Amino acid sequence: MRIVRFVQVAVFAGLALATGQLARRLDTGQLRPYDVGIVPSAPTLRWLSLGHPMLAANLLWLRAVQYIGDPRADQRGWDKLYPLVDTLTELDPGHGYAYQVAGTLLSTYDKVAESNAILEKGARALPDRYILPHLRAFNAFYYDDDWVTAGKWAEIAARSKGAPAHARHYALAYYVKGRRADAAVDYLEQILSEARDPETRAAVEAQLKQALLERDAARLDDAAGRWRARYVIGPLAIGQLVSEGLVDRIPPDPFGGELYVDDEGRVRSTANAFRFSKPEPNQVRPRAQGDGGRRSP
Amino acid sequence: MRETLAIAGVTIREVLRRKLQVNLLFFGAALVLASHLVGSLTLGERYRILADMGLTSMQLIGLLVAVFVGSSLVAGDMERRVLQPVLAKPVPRGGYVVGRYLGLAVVLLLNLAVMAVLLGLVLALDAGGLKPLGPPYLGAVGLLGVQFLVVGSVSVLFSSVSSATLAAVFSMAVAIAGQMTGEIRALWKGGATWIPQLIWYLVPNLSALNANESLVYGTAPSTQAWLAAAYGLCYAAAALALAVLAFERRDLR
Repeated sequence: MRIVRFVQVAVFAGLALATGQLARRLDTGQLRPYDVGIVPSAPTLRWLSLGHPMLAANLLWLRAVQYIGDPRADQRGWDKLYPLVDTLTELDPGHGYAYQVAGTLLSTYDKVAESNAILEKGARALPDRYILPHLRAFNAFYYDDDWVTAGKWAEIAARSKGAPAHARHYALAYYVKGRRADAAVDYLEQILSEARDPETRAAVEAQLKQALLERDAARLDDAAGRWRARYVIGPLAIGQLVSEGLVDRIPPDPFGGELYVDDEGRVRSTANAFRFSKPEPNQVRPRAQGDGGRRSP
Repeated sequence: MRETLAIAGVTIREVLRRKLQVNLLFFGAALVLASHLVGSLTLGERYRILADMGLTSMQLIGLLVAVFVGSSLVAGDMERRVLQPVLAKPVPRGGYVVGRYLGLAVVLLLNLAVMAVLLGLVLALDAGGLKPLGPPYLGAVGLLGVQFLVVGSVSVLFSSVSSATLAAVFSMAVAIAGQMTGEIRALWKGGATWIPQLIWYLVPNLSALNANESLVYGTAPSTQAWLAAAYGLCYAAAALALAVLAFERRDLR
């Protein structure tokens, strides 16, 4: 009888020990950063979700949140974020926040092409979500130094339903810095023709004047640059550009003042001193761990 | 008619006392409340997770009750030999089947109401007001109710022609296939054979009765949704009529 009891206790102790050992091995799995093994394709998930693609998308979103939120994510890398969000937005194209979060993070972690792809997909799926083309424009100027593309996306952002009034200003700035002030003029003229309320009209008119100033002043800046190449200093008066044959005529100042060349050789208006600064060449810091090659400020 | 209503009343009392029904309802309530916890795991878009998970939990539990309770109603009576004494009284067979179904339908809608109140509370607490409980919410709950009625009628149909176990298996298969009719339609539109087309017409289109998207995006149910509700009610009535026809001809010996 005692022997039987001894055997029972021994079996129990052995099983408890084995369970404990296995549990310790399970713990080691949790020491790794959270990762996603396989991201099934959207059609597969659509079938597996038994008619609930949105539920599948939301479950994928919860996985994406885990993936994003792991404090050791930099050790693991960010390779699965794009497939996760791409698949979940296939299942639920209306998940605007997923595009926004993935678009922001991917560009931060040196995956600008993937960030652009997800933002462009979001902008197509949700044309009223201003932030998506706005972020795409940001990527274009900040990471790619492509001001014209930035202007195009900023224009799309500014046209979206929920866009704030200052969104037009971004489009204007990007176009001007990309030396496409004429595109900004076209865009603002169209916006002005569609504006109905006096407040919007006044704001767009001011921006249009700035765009016209930038367009004309850019041409005169070039002429002043050629003047300085010839004579080192000057010109002292803007009319000298005409007399030297560098431009046909001096256009009127859209703000109603006079145009002049400042000490640095840039053309300005006496009625409005503001000009957009010229873009600096892209300065990308060497990529450190977890640092997406952010541009130095 | 009176006999039918009496049978419906008995069915309500009987089903409400069943352990399966009580357990599933309790589990459903727990799932709806758990969606509140799951919602806290997300990054933004909390309402989306709460609404989608909560509504899907309600659907899952409601369909399970419709399948398992519905399949055992008629077939279970036959297996337990309690059907013959009932039919020995002046109760038409058709009235018996309809009465069983009506009782089941009331219980399914009661379950739905309990879970809808719970989910409504979760959503209202989360939003700090009654804004989430507008037409999209009521529309989604209403369509879910139609979905339960359809699956309940299919279960009663199978229960009238086979054993309780087989009826549960068939009803579950139909309930799952019904959720995938959208995909079946895509196959059909893709130029596949007549088989998907046949399945499309035979299997109840339960995916048309899912309003998760409308609830999540806060859009009121569209005309299509009302059309789907009318379709669902017609389908349920047709399945019930078929169940009556089949049961009238069934040899009960």
